[in-house]
Amino acid sequence: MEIKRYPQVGEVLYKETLANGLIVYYLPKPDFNKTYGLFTTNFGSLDTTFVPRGQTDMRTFPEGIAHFLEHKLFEKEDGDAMTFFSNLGASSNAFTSFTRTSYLFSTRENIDPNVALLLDFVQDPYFTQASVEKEQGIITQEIQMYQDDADFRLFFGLLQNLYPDSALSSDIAGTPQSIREISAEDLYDNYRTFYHPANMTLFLTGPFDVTSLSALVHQNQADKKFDTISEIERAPFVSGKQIRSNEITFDVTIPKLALGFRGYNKLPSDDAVRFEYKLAIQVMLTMILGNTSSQYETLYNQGLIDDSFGFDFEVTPHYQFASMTSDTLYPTKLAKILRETLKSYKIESDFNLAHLEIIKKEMLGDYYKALNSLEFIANQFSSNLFEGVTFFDFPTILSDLTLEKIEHHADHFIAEMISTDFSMMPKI
Amino acid sequence: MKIKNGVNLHIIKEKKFKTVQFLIRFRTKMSRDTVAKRVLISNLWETSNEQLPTSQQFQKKLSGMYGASFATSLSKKGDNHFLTIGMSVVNPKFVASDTITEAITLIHQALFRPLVDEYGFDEATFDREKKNLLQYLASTREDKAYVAATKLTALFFTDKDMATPSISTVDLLAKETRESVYEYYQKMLQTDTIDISILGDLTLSEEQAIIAQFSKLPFTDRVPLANILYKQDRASICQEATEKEAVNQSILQLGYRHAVTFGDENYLTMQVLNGILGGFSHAKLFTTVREKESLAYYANSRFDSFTGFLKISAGIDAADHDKALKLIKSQVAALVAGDISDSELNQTKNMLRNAYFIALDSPTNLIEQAYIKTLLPDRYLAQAEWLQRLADVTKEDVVKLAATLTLQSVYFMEGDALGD
Repeated sequence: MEIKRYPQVGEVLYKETLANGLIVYYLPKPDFNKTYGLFTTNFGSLDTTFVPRGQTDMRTFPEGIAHFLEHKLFEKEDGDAMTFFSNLGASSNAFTSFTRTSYLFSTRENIDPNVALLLDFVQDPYFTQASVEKEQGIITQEIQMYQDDADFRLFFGLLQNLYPDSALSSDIAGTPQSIREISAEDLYDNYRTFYHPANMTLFLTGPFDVTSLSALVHQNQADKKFDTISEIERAPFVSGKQIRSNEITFDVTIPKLALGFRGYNKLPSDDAVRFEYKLAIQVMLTMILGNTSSQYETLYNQGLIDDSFGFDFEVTPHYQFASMTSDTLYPTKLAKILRETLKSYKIESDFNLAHLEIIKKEMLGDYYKALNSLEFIANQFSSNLFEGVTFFDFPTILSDLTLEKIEHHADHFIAEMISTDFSMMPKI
Repeated sequence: MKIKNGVNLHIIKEKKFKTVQFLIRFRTKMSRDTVAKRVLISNLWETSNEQLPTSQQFQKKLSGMYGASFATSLSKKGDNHFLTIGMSVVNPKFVASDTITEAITLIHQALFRPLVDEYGFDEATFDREKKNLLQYLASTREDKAYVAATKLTALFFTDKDMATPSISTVDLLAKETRESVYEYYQKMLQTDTIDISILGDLTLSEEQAIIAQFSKLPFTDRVPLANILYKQDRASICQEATEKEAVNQSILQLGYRHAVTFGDENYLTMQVLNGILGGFSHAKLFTTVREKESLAYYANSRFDSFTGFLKISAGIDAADHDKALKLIKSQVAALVAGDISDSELNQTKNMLRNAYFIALDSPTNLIEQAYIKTLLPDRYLAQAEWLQRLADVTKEDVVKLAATLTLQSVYFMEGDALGD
């Protein structure tokens, strides 16, 4: 067992890798009532083309299959896993992203049986054709609910422009049509490939004793049989050329603009540098466009943006893009200003050392606030982008960030990036 | 402790969080005459004040205080309207900076030194914030779940003030001017009941400093607002409305009247009833409407013990309206008929007990609990009593209570049916 102490944030983290490849984290929180467990597989909506375990050829599965599998894993031969958790006084849930599927519970009582249940229900699939068909109605309603959400549609409209003809531009849950094509056999093929312990992470946090809980996890895994560890062959992420500009009409009161910048440069290979890269671009965007910047103040006072304005920078091994979104009466004008601001970030009045220090303080404070949430911490640890660096290293990496480092990374991103915009116009 | 008549300070010492939370609540009767004014005040508070006249200066101040957050909000509880400032700062021990005193200074500036001139709130700031708010209120129609909830509430409550959203409406807001809002603001500062709560891992000297600093603020005595619980008579007619919308998913909502008030003898029975009906994933609505019939992704219920309102919601396909409505009503009827298994009852109690303890890990909930304790001291249930009353709830209690539920409103937002 590896033990890492983080005195700066007052946390101690335990990590071990089991013989079957499963990585387990334990974060004791003696003052808390809640124990939270998150069991994650490195498998999301992007993984639709791969070589199923035991086969030799690439196959493509219907969109939304990872999310469908997430729903179906709760169904067991003798009932519903959510009900088993309820019997133990725990609440449970699951969620699927582009790259991950996570199962979780939170409880105060029966910690050991709940941890065992989390492992057992995820590691014991039971799919039948009849139950697969029944789930289609439920997931169709889930898809339809999001289709009525303007901001959701805006984000996917942007992704469709940034990465056309790729799994990234599709709803994580698929479409009412695609999920009708999913069979029980498909689910088993996906399950066997991606739910191997070597492709998974378990994160446990709460007021428990690490040694005894670790013994339970070891025993639970030793009692089960798994295939030998083998590399999963996934089709490389491919996408068409970005679409420069596009708009749709939708039931909105004022137009919505989404601006995207797709990065084409190679990511730093070192984990720590990659973490620094992501942070550097985020900090740069905050300096020139955050609510402490002159640009934000000007745009706000001129009525070009309102409180809905936001920006983000996404980095995964497959893709990287910056995005900016806002409700605005002047989408064309706003897009032009934002593009120019980003390209000339270095000459922006807010790109200076004093402002950097303020942003650093703000980010450090936000970080401490986030540490109040066990769910947030668990999610951070279960993302596999930065294996060598953890969430608890954040204060150090932030404090080491200089204007020079930011420029180095930002220049790298901006030199290769290509922009796109997507607008949503009110129906007349 | 009492700072002035009607102005209370609550300090809650709690070790497990890395932040110190501040909550300043202004409370008055819910009224269509004042709700829009209060919404504007909430926006002005977080935009600027005399010391920090631009929002950029305001935001830089917050960032420099290690990302302190300063957020205002509006809500209803019973027949009261709450206007709240929430601040959260990193505990000084992590950042070697007196974030607590800085937060109190900022609260002082926001409350007592707003950006005004001889006529009222600063004109440019007021006009901009009013325009943004009008735009925001107009755009709430994009949030279909919010629209459905607002419509159901309006159908349910006979009292116009109670039926009004806590964030007001476009019509109410349009009438306000910088003069009218400022005039009201001065009155509000002097007459609203105010509760200030602070929660965190505080040292004794920090606690004393907090008391001293808040005692120095220029609050005046006022008559505290005593009532909060609202009760509506049972109506003989159920109000129903169906409205067509261009949506993919239709929303069906039902409003039932119940006679339970916070902390009364049926309070825990109501918790159990709601849990069995639609509060959890093992509940009747979830297992029938979703799991068995595949009609919905969500189907749930929630109740309010300050107004006697129980709401059921489900997102369905338009073609399934009749089937879903019948199924939902039959789940309520099942409770009345005593169709409750031992495992349903026990699971629900287990979940409620766990949820009670898990909520103690949330700063917001801890503040809420302490607040209700001062608000309704006779009705507040201490932990042991709460747990005992929960354990004592029987199937018969639930059945008896279920029989008193009366359907008072049904709202259906009808979208397109999915073509097969």
